[in-house]
Amino acid sequence: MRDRLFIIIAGAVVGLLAVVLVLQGNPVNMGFCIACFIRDISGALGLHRAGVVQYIRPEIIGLIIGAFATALFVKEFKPTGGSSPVLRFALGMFMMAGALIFLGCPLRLVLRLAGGDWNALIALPGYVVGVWLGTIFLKNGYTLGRSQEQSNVNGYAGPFIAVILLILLVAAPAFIFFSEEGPGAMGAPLVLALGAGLLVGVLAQRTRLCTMGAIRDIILFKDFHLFYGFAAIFVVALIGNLLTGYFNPGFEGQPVAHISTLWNFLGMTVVGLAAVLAGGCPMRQLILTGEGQGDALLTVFGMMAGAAFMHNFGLAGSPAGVSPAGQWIVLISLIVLGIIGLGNSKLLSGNK
Amino acid sequence: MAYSCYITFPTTFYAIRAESILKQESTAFKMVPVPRTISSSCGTALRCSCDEIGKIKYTLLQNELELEGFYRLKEEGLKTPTVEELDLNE
Repeated sequence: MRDRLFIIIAGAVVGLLAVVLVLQGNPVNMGFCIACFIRDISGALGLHRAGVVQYIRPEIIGLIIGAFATALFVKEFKPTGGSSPVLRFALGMFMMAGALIFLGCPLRLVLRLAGGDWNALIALPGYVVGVWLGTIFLKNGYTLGRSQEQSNVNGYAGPFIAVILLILLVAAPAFIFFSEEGPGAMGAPLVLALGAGLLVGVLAQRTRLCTMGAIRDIILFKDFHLFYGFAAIFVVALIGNLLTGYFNPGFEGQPVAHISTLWNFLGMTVVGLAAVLAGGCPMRQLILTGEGQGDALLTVFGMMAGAAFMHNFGLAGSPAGVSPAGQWIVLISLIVLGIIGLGNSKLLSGNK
Repeated sequence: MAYSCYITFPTTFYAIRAESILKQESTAFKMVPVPRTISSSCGTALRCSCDEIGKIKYTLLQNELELEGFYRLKEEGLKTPTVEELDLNE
């Protein structure tokens, strides 16, 4: 009862802040988009040179530091790591690849839906299918192995990087890239964006809000606890968009979106499957990073590398659609994720 | 005031197996997210009556399941539940 109330409040706050951030300058239906924002940071650091998506997003910094401060305060800061680091990095890359095909992480999927972008209506079942595929591996013993306790220095790495990013954002040295046009040039004021990230970081740490867990728990145990948070984000963002005039129903002409049905669906299938195998959606990985989990930080690094890979080689989706090479990446992602799933479950003999 | 007991597992796989094993028994239980007061991790726990936790533990261990921890929670509406870790080792 108590936990359920809190997760609904957390979801509602995320939905509300998403609307406010758009009103204050973030791209439409992108109040929060963890994948897009990590991609923007990747670009700001020069890891990719897509000039329209380069910005050190304060929301990401806030999420990590908010979760870190909360975890320290409630004595849940627990540095751990060493659970299949290479595969975690790869899962982060694939999670980003799928997100950049659809043009959004699961959180933005909900926000796009709340903005009337019906392409997200296609992507949602794709995401559910991805999570469902992941649960097949879970049922067959999939695990990346137990993580080990590590020294505090390991746990401080993620929050430390977040602080460095904040310094780079404020100081804006010449070697950091900031978009002059496009989505990367659109952002709410720093203090507001950082504050929103901090608040969501605190709430998500306290409630374990996770867009993958929401679907996974329903499929595995018919448990709707996490889904209440997911639903609250949608309901509040929908009401907010209706009130502020940002609800524009339709398929075509949606902001930072394309209408390729198959690739919207399969892009999110990749994200769903990778998120189950990695144990959390992109947002949850940031929160776990704040709690000191090195494995989650590696997944975030994987997402940054994945963004660079997708943009440097022209694989990411765009309002024009998904290039043939991008389509191949989706298929390759599904195959490799299947191999990772098989290789770490009991479906193949020899695994204990 | 209500007491519930919880069993946690090292991986989701064992939680899923526990569910399928106990479904064949006449034991009342429910698979739920690990209560927030027990852990900040996002695993799945088994909730059952505190009278039956010993029997359930025995059944699961007989089936070679790996279990992580045993807890008793006092849950009162919106108050923070109080947690007590149970030592069920014989």
